[in-house]
Amino acid sequence: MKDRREFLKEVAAGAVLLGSGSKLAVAAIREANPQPAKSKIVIARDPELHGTGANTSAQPDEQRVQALLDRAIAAYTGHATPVAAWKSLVPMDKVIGLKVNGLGSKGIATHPALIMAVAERLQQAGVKPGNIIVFDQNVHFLQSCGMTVNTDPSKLRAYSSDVAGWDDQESSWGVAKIRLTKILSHDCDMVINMPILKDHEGAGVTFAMKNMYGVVDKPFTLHANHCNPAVADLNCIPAIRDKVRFTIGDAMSSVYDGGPGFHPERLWYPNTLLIGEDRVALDTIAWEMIERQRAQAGLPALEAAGRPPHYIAAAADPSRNLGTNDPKRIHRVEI
Amino acid sequence: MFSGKRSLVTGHDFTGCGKTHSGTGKGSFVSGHDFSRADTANKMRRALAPEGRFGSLASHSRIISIFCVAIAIIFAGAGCKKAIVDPFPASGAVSGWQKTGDTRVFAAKDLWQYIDGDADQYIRAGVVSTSTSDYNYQNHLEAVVDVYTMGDSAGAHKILAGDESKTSKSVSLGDEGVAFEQSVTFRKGVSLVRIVAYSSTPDAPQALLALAHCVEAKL
Repeated sequence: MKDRREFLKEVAAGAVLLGSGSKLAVAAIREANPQPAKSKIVIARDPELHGTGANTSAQPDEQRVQALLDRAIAAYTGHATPVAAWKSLVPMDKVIGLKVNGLGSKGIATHPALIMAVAERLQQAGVKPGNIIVFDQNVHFLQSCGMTVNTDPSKLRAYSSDVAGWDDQESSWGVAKIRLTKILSHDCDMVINMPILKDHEGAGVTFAMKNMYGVVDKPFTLHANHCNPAVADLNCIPAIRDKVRFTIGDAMSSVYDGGPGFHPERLWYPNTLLIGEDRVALDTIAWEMIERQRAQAGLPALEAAGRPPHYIAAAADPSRNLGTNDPKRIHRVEI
Repeated sequence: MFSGKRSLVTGHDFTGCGKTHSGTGKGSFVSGHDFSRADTANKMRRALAPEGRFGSLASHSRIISIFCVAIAIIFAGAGCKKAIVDPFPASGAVSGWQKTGDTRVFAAKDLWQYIDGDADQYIRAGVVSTSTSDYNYQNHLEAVVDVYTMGDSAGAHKILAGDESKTSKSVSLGDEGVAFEQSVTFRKGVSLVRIVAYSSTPDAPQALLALAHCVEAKL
């Protein structure tokens, strides 16, 4: 028997078909996807993650990454021990996907140290190694994140959409008409989003929501109008909205201009993790970080550069209700 | 650190950095031409040539036939695709550098598979194809070499101009080039080359320039 939430989702989906801007659609979407009064986002920093001065390293210190992750998760959940914290976040008997981002090559990809830290804590909390799948769009992107393909279910798995394949059926919401990777639609019960913070030549900023371009077969069809509202619409597709429930955002290093590719001359080290459930709030904070660094480097704001990430506001719009971009409704916990 | 002068890289072994000529490169980079039909045509003419008192005429005819076939081959050669050079130095072609991966080639329509969101600016600038390969310098510096073949030199210049900044230094490579501590970008005709190191080391700038000069020589 359907519960109330499932029923409302079906109503919402039907209303969307009738017209996403209708009052019925907006009301149904809001009720099916209730948002908290305030979205909690933990901003965890360790200034010495990459070393200091002449000893600065391109790769962060693994032990410091693990410690930073533990602090961030503890602050988010209120549980002092990592095991208790992770148990409160993740169902132990399910298959958990870690959607990483290796598009920017080894120079600017989700850090292997962070991926392995999350995988280790998941296992310590009780998730079987084979029930953890690290994935991205293709094998090369995975390699950029330090992963090699492994489909053996007795071990931590890592494979990409070009290995797993795409859904036969198209999924659509608004302007987003795509086929999803089977890793998301079929193999995983829940996905932890693990993007890396970057400037983006088209979208302005790429972080939590934009990382979902890596779960579709033809991301290039979603680039028009600075990816607006494509990013927002893509995140409204039920499998993405429902399964991608938590984000551990990698802002340990970042590029503030010239992204999403790697431009070492525009690399900086925020030494930060951003974690939370509200993808819109996370992207709002990510945008602020990019703007601050661009200003410091003497570059124009993204609006002036002609590529403001308007998709963030579109995602917060009541017709999508993916989260909030209102600073007053974002509860920032800075540690 | 940077002077941009070629003298910076003297002393490096440029063996193997010469141009790759048609028919000498690897199969994937050189589009050969099928001459078997020309050979067959030649044999047919010989078989049909008259014998006996027309021997001298036959001999003359044979010379004309060979001449015609030679002309045909020249025109056929001119008409077939221009041989594509392999701009990627082999391991050891530049002192200390190893080619650590296969060369991957992307047509413009598939460039998103390599750089996704970055592809749009290259497509707007008229990219035709992109080749890329990974390298390693003395087991401590990883780098990638990207070669973008543009529709015209203006497109290559447009992308290169976007790389220039207050901190870039002009280098004497191809038609124009810029360098940073971890990267070198240059244009030669319709080719745009970007070489990027994944980490910063004291020897990175000079090593990258050496590799860049070898790529330039092969274009």
